[in-house]
Amino acid sequence: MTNKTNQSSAPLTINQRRWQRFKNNRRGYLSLWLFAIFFLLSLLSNVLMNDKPILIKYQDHFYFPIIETYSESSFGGDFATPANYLEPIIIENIEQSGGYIIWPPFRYSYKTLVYNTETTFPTPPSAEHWLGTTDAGFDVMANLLYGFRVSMLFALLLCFVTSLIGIFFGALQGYYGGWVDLFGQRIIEIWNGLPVLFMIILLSSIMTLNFWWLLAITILFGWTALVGVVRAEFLRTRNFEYILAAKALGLSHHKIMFRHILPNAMVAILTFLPFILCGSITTLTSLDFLGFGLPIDSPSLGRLLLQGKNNLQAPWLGISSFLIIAVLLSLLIFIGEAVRDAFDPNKGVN
Amino acid sequence: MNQPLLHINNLSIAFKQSHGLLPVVKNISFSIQEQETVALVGESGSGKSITALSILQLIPPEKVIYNSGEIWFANQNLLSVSNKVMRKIRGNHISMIFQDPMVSLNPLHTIEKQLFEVLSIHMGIHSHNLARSEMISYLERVGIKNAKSRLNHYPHQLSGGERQRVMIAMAILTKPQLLIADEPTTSLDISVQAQIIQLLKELKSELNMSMLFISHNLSVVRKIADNIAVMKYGEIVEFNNRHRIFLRPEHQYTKLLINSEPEGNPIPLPKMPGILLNVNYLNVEVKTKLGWFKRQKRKIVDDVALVVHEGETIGLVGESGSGKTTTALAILRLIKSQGDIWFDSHYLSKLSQKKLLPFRSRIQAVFQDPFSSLDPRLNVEQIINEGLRAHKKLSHSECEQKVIHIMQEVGLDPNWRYRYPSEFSGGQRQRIALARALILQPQLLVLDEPTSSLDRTVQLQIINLLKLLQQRYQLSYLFISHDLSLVYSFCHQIIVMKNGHIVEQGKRDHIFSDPQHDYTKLLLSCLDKPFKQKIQNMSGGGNKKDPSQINWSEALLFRSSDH
Repeated sequence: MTNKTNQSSAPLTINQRRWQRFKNNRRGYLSLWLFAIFFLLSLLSNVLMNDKPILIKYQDHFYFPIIETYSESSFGGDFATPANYLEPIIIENIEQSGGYIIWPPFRYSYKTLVYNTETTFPTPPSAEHWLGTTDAGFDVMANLLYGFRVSMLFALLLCFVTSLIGIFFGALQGYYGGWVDLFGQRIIEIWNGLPVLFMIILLSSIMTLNFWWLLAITILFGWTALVGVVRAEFLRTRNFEYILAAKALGLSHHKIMFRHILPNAMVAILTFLPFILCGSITTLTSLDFLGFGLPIDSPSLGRLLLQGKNNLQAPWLGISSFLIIAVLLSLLIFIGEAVRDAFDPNKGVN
Repeated sequence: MNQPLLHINNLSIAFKQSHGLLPVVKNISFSIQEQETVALVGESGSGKSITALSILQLIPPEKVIYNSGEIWFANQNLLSVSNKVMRKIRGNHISMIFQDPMVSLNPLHTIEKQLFEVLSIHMGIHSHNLARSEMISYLERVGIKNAKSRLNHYPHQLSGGERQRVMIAMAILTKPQLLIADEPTTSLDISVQAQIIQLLKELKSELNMSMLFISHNLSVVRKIADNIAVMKYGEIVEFNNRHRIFLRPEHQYTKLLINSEPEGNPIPLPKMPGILLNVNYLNVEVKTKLGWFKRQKRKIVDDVALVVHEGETIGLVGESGSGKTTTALAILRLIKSQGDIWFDSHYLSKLSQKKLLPFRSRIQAVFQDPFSSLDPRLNVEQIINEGLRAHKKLSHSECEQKVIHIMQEVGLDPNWRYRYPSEFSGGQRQRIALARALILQPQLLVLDEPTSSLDRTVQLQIINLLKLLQQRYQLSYLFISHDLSLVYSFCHQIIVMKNGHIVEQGKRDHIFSDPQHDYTKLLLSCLDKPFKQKIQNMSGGGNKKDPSQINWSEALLFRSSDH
């Protein structure tokens, strides 16, 4: 044994070693940080870019417009409609009463119409709108940030649910083999033969698809992605002697599957996840681009790309949305590669 | 003195690792004269295979660094020649046979295609007809029967021994000056081993080759080598001619290797042992598909019957494919079988898996491969206490105490319990597997070739440990092995299996000194001479045969099982 000196202290666990190996891959590690920062920023998009203030103090009361909707009359306005905080009268009212307003750094949400421009939409980048505005008069940066959040949440949810289903069916097929396997494989083959895009086009002509509907449909046709990998891993691992030994110890089937085989299959699964995540983002973006995706009033990277295509005279639309998508997908791929290397036991690092 | 064919001078090799260099071969020097056989002997990890691979430059260059030294062959330093020159030397002047015939032939090509490749690359023969006659003559020379019809066969249609013969034919096709044989017999059955060794010897003198023979098995080396280099931790600790090495070994390690033959006798049986396991008419069938509806049944275990007493060791002996492991798995109820299995007067054969659970802890198993029998993702403590968690409800600290105790029992340092299997050697892993089985305090332990992938000295340690535990806890063992000398020092009763049948069974001394069945005789004839002498001395001195004391029940047993 090489490390006799630290016998008493518990040596690095497998996961700690993997983390070490992950950190050794500089590109992957940097990508993870960048991605984490982007993702965090997008999660905070309501506080960063919004046409509603974060906090209002008015007549010794505190208001949180981002969380709650207040009527205009609560701030001394005339109507009972929801307050528009960009209106000078309301701002004046609040300031005169001795209160104050804390604004987000940018006073635009993804659906805040910009009125006071000198040129026609889309306007080029300016001090006010860093990345310009869209052809409908929305701030591009706000759309990118909110679109990023929608895409990521969609992709993460899709990834999570499809992995759960995929691992479940893959595990059953691989572990039991035989008829279960044969039957499952045929079903998946037929299932994969169904044209997803046409189904979505059909459905979207019947009803308006919202976020959850889209998610449900893509899960319905996407759960097969991991089955093959998990099944192969289970088929391979179930023949090892430690499975035989576990059976001889009298362990139940589900214990053997969860304690012994699944952790070994996790390597292959985790290696695949970033790529599935990328695929999910691309799916949503392309659906939006084609016009079958999210409803028209939700922020979307795909629709921003479409606008870029339709307004070639305004290159900031296409370039900025392309850059965001390209950077996002590259970061995920870099992280995925680093994860794969971290799980590869042949790259031995102590 | 002539110039040697191959001369290795002060060679050092180190593996590149992420945190530095790991030296595997340290300043070794030796040479091989023409028509001479040099053997590299050592335990696994001693650097012998790396040395051989470095001669042909077959180690990926990004993985190793040659710290020092030269390898001289035909006035060229093989460490500094170009790839082009190296390719000419490989196969043409130096050929190699590898350990595992199962994976060293390409399964997708016929024998003919693979042999033709060698001829066309190295000999420039491009006519198939010309090549075919050449191939047939070589295949016949290495002992392949019906060589002509065998040319169209794929590797999976050949047996292990035949595959190794084809490998040899492929290696000698170009009449090389040097043949490197890297453990060519290790994965073969003992009777096939002897044939392959004989073949290599004949070919060597026929073709005037030199040979570099790598093995961990001294008794194999003794039959074939002129000079022997004993390697340990990357160094040659002793280099001398065969007779000197065996008659007057100088280095401590050489002595250890030579003396690492199993010794001693089985633990004496307890008085009046009860019957623990009784197996009758055990059958295991496999179905092979012939067509859409046709299925053929084949018995791989055929009417096996055996009895294990308390504190007794039964040795189950036979070649690979003889059904030994299948029998064990059937007794453990891990595969489907027909027949009666009685354990401690409970009828196990028809019990559901749930009702079988209490018996699982009483019959435990240790398997052959120490590298795949431990879950790489659990640490040692988790591996060992797995059975406890399944069978007994104990508190965490009780569990830990038991794990610590059992680790001491099998000779492991309890401080290692948070380590992972990859940090242990093969012998240590087998001890962990043993601890995992023993922590449930079983009465019967099924040992499926638990030592066959270990070095000889480690094998003996494990066997001694098993004996010690047997003495302490009155364990019964069902010991599956193909190694007769181990069986002799360990087992009370011996069962010889062939093709799923029991061909002979009886007391140890009886089987070894007076085998009845031809197959048993064949197996025994493959033993080493010194070992045979030992047995003869024992049976001559220990229990003198008295015709009046014939054990009739045992004599009848032979007859009934002797088909």
